[in-house]
Amino acid sequence: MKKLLAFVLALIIVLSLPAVAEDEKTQLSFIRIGNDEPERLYWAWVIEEFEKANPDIDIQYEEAAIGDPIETVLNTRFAAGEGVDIIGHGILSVAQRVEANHYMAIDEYFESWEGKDDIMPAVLANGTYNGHVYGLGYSVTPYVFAYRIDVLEEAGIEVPETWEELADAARELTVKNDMGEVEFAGFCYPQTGGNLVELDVFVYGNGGQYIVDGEPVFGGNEKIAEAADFLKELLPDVNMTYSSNEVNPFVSGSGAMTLINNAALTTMINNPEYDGKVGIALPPNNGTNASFCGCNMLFIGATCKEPDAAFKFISFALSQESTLKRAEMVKIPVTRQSLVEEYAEMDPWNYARSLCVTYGTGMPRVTWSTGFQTVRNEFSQNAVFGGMDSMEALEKAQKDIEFKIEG
Amino acid sequence: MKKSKSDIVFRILSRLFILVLALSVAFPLVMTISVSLQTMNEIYSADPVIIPNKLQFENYANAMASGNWPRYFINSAIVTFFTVVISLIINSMAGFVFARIPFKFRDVLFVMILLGMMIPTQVTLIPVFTLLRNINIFGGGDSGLINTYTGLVLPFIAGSFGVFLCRQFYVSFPKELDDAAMIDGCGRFSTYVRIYLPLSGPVLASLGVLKFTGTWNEYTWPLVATSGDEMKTVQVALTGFRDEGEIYWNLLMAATLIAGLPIYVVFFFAQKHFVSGLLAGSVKA
Repeated sequence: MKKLLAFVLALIIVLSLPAVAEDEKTQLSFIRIGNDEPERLYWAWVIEEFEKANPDIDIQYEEAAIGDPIETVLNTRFAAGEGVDIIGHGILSVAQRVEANHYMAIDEYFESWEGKDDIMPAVLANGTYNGHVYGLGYSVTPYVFAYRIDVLEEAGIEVPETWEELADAARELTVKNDMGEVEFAGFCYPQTGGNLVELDVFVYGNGGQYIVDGEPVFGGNEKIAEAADFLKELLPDVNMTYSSNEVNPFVSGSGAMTLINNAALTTMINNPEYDGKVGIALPPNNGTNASFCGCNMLFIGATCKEPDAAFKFISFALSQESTLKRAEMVKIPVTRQSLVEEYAEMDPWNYARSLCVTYGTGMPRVTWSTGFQTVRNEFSQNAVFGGMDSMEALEKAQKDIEFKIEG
Repeated sequence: MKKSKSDIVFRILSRLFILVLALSVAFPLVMTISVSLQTMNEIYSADPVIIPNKLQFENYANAMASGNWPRYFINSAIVTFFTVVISLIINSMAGFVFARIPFKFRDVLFVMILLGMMIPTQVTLIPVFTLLRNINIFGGGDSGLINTYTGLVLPFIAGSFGVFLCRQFYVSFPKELDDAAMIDGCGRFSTYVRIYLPLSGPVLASLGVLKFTGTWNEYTWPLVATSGDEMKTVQVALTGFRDEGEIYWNLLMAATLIAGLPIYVVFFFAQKHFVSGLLAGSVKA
């Protein structure tokens, strides 16, 4: 038995050989949201080039999937006092993690950064909170207005730019069966889903806002009500029911126009069946150019002991060369104004994508953004699909969000 | 004996019910296999596809080519092997002690161990992480045992369920066995090794199978306790088929089916132990 115990002990010791060799270099841990292959290859390139240029710095890269995985990893690391030096994360994390003291303000670094005046203002806004810069955007996912070129051309319809044009085109392009059910949707719009940002595109496109000076302004908001009423009147005639968590019928070839996450359009664009048949534009609006645009940013962890080295890495990853390389490798729109022309040369639709980034607004940077998401979704259900009067639904939304803020 | 009409109707209905139940259980697996053999266009098609137009076996190759899968499998295999072996030793020894050796506060201690079964892993995640991060023995570096195989194995080698299972098993042994062993000159440890352990085949097989599936399928702890590609296990690697815009369902399903292979093999050869493990403790000892 002693031999067995000795064997087990020996195994434990062998197993626990250190995973990472220690050396004199500055070690920086870097975790980014998402773990898809194209991004991984891009970051491998960035890190390799950065370490070549800065042999005294070693980047320890890791990634965690979107949603619970990234939150679980970060929460555990910070709660255990370990933290992470550089974090690639989304807009929803900003307010909560700044308030939790997980992110470091980088105003001083930003002021002396060469890309300070080149980063798109809409992208920069995503990483600012309470007047301080915390994160700088590296990945943007704009919602684009996608349309079927062949379908619109066949009907002799121009790409709609206003709500009126959208409504007319959608009604004309919708095909219904004998039962009156929509078989081919003129305009695809999700009825349910986790985060109904499509409504935001219409609210912002009408010059509306949900939040002003950090306070929710649902109650009595005519701009939001107008957007909801427009959709309420249009959608029953032109839309087919689906959830934003499902495949958009437009991507399945069952719709003429839609609002869709640029990245979710990739499969359709790569499908030879739709070669040259899919167009992209800024969403039609009611006076204000607008779209929704998600954004992942690079932050420095509040526990980082080498912030100078960490920002050196961030500025390298956001340099013109890295940003263009990223657009090539990951097919993500550029975040720097000076690169829009070069980006547009890569693909004729890239200019429209850049417009959606330029006019894109992300999720609100407030600690109650999750509550906002729930209330906005409920409002959409009530006012757009549920038959409730939009002003009444807004009053309810205001009460609900105030209740959520107060806890 | 002639069966009554109602008996026949009952039999037909019960078989129909079982058939529907079996189909509903099998359907997700059938869809997993089907989706793993489809193109993304078929998956996105407006009409759901069950039998793909052309079976895309290359999805399996593509899934395995996406990431360092041999490494992930080796990592999972190492972690699972050592977790199962060490946990069987520890759990059976602890079970023997609680079943056979009287000592002060034994029952209180046993109840406390049982309480551990009611605490979800999420609750202990941060304390365990902090603990392992600060253990610098066994070759732990600045991050303690985080990102080491030991760090992945240690939290799972002793579990309340295993101790409970073994204790229940040993309690059913006749006390005369201990007396006979003592007369023959065996101490407590010798009795355990020479008498109890050789008779522990059924309980160790059940516990081993459950521990194997649990460890192989463990997701949260490897997610938190590893960093970088080198230490990833298969379950963590499975999350890699999703990006900002979409989930590559065909590759994900193909990888899921491959990642489950060891479980299918173990279940096929040891399903009776799996079931007996699940039923353990359901009858009072």
